[in-house]
Amino acid sequence: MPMGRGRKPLGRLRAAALTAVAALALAGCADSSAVQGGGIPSVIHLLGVRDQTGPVSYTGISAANGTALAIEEITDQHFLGAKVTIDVDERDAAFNPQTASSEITTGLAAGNITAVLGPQVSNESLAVAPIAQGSGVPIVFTQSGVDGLLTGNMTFRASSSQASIWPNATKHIIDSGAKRVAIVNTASNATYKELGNKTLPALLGKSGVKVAESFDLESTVSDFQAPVSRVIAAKPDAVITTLIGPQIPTLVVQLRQAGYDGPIYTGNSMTDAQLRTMGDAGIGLMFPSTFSYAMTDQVPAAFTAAYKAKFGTLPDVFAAETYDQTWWVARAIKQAGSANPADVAAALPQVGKKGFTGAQGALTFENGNDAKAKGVLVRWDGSKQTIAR
Amino acid sequence: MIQDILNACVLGSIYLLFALGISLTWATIGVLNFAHGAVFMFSAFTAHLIGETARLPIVLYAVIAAAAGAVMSALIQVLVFAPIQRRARDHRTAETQILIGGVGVASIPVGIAAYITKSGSFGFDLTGQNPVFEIAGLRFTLIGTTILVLALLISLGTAFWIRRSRTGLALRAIGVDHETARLMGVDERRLAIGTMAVAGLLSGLAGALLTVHLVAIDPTTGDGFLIKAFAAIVLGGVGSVLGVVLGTFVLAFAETFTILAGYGSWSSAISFALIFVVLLIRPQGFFGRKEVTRA
Repeated sequence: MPMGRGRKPLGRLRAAALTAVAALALAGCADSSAVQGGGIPSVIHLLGVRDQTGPVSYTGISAANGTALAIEEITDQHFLGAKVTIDVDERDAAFNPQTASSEITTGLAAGNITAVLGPQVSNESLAVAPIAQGSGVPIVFTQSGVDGLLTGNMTFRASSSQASIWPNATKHIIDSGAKRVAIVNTASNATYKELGNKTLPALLGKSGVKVAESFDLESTVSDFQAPVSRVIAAKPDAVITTLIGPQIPTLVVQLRQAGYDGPIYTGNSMTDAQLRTMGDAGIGLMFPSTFSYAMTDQVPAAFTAAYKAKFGTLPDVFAAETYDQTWWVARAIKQAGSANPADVAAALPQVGKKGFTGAQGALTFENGNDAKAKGVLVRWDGSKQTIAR
Repeated sequence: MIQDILNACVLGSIYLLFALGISLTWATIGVLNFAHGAVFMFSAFTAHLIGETARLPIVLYAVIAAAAGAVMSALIQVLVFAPIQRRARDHRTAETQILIGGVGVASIPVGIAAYITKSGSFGFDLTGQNPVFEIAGLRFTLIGTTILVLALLISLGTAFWIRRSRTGLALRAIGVDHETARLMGVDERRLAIGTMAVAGLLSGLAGALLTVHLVAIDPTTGDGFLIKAFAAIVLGGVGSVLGVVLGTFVLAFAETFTILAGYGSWSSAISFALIFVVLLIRPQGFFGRKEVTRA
């Protein structure tokens, strides 16, 4: 009897509960229609995971700016439709692979993410790639030149690897008549280490340029008088360095103080703030890059003008790369006619195979998923960047 | 070869300038200050910020940084370490809590500098103020030579102060037994603030000189120096100024000649392995006493 008496209220409760669950499910479907169904929804959700704090936060802050500018243009141009807006959930990887993994996991839990704008630091990218791949959401990296990153069908890269932009610099070295070079190499970054130990000697060796002296140095080395002493003794025609951060200004100035007056080439992550710290010693320093605000081609120049108008400062390579990254995703959404992650992942290589012109100039995509730009060789004249080649 | 030895001496002097302040507070008032690297960086950063408003002579950068370092360190003592020392149930607990407190305090200036610079590098506008000169085929920079001379003079001065002055005697007394020292009329609180201020002054001076010498530093530069200074102090023997001098120079020579031998990526590993071997043979370091009695 008690059971019988309780049946009716329990039934009503059950019905109410089912109704509530159904309503919630419908509400969920409505919110995630972008992900589940066809057509481009009115709001597209992207997830950004970059370093907003930590030792390379300047890269993540610029990256977020590049994306913000691209989204503003995409929206203003009604590129994906008159009423379509893009919402980016920017999360801080804090220069820590574990944090990056945690943030991407939390961000993807929302269930409505169309694509992830991935980290720039290789070890963070390696940590988050399997999470995006496992979630079936495409992730587009910038920088992150490490090998083995683009192994799944959900992984993409919107910036050229160092190996693909350095030929521009090595040709400049060869054309200058150099026969012997010294390489001061970082031992703390796998990508740059390989560049200095394998890629550059191979590129130069083809034209008979000999590596007279080569060093691997840890990121904890702060004073370079010892390697500089050996570089000077080797009498190179050019010095190349793949060091990173504040090590570059120290090396450049100590080379000049030691009497070296030949050309110096460095990695592509040089900002004006870093270049200025070198004073007169930095004049003439050259570095290959996929972007410089000195580029005069139509799209890069328009990007520079728009960026300066929006943020009041000149853009750097990190902003240019994420500007192209965001536009690549937008083109893929338009190509797919959908914000469903699987559709976008399928469309990204299709857009990649056609290529497009972005802030980095004309972009082609190896295998449809790995951007290649010709790049430029930038020369610092003491106050601003100029194009050397 | 002589140029390489000279370069190693300059590097050793760089480490020495940085390490002296840590050694001083550790050996006397029992404060192993893990915020020393942050004070070093933020003092230079303060001078950098002021230097952005007007181009300053090199001496003024050093004065500003030294003053900033002294004020910061004294404030850290008053606001953080002294309350810890008052509330800790015994001296050993206080030392441990100060160590952790120092790590926590360090994150504040590092965070501020990282926020303002976007974690980028910074330096001073000193075009033409660090000339290079050549004597008998050896190259010297003005700042490299200044660092070398100042490091040795300050070491001698510190050693003299600790060994010969009444304040030094009081500090050594605190280092041996702070309760007995207090009973003998030593004003531990005042001396602790003064010692921290002197250590901060040295740290700020080192920050300015190293920023000139290295051209640029970033908000985390102090961390790398902190580990090396700690190792050098332990190698030399806690409580001995001569030990700090020897420890920093052994570290600098080991690093320099490891790099010159072509093993640059192993410089830290080889240098620290060398220290480890020395400590296996002589656990108290070169000049430390077997039973550790600070100062």
